[in-house]
Amino acid sequence: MTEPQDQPIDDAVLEALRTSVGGDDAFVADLVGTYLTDARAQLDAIDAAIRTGDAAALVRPAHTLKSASFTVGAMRLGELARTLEQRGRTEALDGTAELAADARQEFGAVDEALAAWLREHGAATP
Amino acid sequence: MPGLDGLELAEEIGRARRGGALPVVILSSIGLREREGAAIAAWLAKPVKPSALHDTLANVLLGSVGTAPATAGAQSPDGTTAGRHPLRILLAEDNAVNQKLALRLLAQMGYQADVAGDGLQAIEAVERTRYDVVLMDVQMPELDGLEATRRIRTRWPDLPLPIVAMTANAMAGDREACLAAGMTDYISKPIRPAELGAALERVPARNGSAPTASAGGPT
Repeated sequence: MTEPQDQPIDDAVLEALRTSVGGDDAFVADLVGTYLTDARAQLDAIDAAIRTGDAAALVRPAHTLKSASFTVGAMRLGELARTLEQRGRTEALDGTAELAADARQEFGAVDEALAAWLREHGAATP
Repeated sequence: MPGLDGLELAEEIGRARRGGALPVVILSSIGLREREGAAIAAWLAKPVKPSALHDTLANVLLGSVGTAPATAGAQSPDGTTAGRHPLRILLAEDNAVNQKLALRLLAQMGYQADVAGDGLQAIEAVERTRYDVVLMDVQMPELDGLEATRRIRTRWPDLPLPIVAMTANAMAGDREACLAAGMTDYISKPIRPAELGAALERVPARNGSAPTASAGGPT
């Protein structure tokens, strides 16, 4: 057995989300689509902030990625984003390029896991 | 069910009790709400998970008995929480995903909320519009929910505006920090319908009048 944290998506979180909207898979698919689109933009903004050494510009996209990731059950990505947000706030950018690369790799796994979940629930992949 | 299906039964019960006092939760294996009706308090898809059952019962029973309460899927304009307990709501949330979800959960209760994308926008909205309640994300960029609340309280010290904190932090002391900033209530994220509904129930009704039941008077 694996812990939920071993998976890109904690199914229990996603299932609770689905239940809270009355099992409306179309809504969940739409929400996941918004999440994936926004997360890509946030990862780009995170990379740009790190590349230019702009700690303040790192905070907002990392914060938004964290919060949305926890909502859809992407707990590991949420934790990576939380660390990046903290680094931005404390202006400690050393090693953030590696963290951002980890986040991008994790996002790939999250993307796949969400697509698989949507297929299982009969919703179209966004 | 054979003979009399669950929906018909719920309607019979509703007629027999003249709209009062017995919420009916439909268990459906198809997961579709083929008919809405005041007789139905909530729908649950089978197989029913314990957490879903818990949330639904909490929703149903936290609502006033005899009216359709805040449930996932209760979409008829009458019999929703909003029909019984109308509120002008401001949602202050910076994140598109969480905004969408919160608006959906509010819509399920019949509420249409205004949205502010950060603390500054929330203050501007409060300046423009007389809200009955603000749902305020604590961690917003630009101006966080705590600071936005402090500024609202400083600027309008006599405004009786409930501000409900929404926070993902589960740390002890968070609630105290929110209350110290001038917030009046607190719900955790991710938002659960039962918790959101209960917080809205605690908000005084518009114009300070007591909530009135939308169903007919007692028999």
